[in-house]
Amino acid sequence: MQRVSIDEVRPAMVLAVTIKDNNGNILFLKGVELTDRHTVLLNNRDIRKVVVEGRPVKREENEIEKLHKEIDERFVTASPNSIVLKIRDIIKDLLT
Amino acid sequence: MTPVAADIKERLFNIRELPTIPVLHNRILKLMDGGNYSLDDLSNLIERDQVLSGKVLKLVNSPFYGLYSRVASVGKAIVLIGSNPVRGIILSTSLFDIADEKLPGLWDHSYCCSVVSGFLANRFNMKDIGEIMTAALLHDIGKVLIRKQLPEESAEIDKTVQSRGISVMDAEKMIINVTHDAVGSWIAGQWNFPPIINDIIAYHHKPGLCGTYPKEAAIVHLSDIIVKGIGVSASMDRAVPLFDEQGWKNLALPEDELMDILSEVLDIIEAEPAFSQYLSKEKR
Repeated sequence: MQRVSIDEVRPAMVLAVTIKDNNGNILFLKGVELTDRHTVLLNNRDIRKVVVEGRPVKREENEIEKLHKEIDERFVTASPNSIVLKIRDIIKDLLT
Repeated sequence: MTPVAADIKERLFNIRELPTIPVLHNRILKLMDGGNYSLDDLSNLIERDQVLSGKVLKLVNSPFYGLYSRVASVGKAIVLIGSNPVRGIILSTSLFDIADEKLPGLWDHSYCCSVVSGFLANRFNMKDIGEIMTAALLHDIGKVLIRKQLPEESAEIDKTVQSRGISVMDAEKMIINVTHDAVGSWIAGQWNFPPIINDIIAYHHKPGLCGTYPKEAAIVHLSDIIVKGIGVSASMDRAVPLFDEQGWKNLALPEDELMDILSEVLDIIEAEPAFSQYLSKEKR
């Protein structure tokens, strides 16, 4: 998955994480295919980023590699437990 | 484990050299301890201290509280966040003033852990959210005390962290044979913190061993891991702490909810301008 800004959202992207407003009310469930109408609503709610399936937005490969390496290094001391590795990999996905 | 050397213990826990709580802060704490005070009395005292007022307003305006309009009055802020976080801010301010010089970024890390712990405590329907946030704000207070009381050994700790790529906690064990969680718990006792805050500080690295507040301690432990994983940490203290499996089990959090939680946490962190320097590409 990939975390993208609202400006980067294009029709047919699929939400990977349910979107809630500031009060925790659900706006859109994960699995929803986004349309221009969703983008307008999200902008109105001041929601700046969403998590979508796949990696539809191209990013600078060098930047991604550099950041992934930094995150890997931070986690060396945290033990190779499967939950920690999952947290690490989600953070990698979300930050790039 | 060999016992802590007598001279380290003496210098670390020398009560005469402990940071003191400023007179005004003490007056505020005493007023709150009495329980019988008006909101005006409390906010008038807090407003006399610009740093303190600034921190109270920063916390209430943090994304965790999700308020639509900015709060500019200390009185309104106290009503919204409750008195316990205010107490945590007062107690941490005098020590963290030192920390900012000696461990740049530690206040931001602690503040970020507090906000994330508040979010998680809410997610787990905990009743003592204010106390958990306060404890998260103070969880590394032992690091500050070690840096203040043992400057030479602290330099050695930093050097060892850098050269061996180990955590501060492991370096503390090697160099002074006592770790910041134990030191933090000791100062929490000296300053008469409530047991819940003392226990969370003492067990934030091993929440699975905490008898009375295991879930509360596990929340702060998980926040610490997430916040460091994202990169909001002191410059000399970047390593993600050792994961405590028993603490994780006590939280009973389904693994497939991690993605949603981390995504929400990142939204909260990104909405706070103080943390942007840790996330920006320039910093990386």
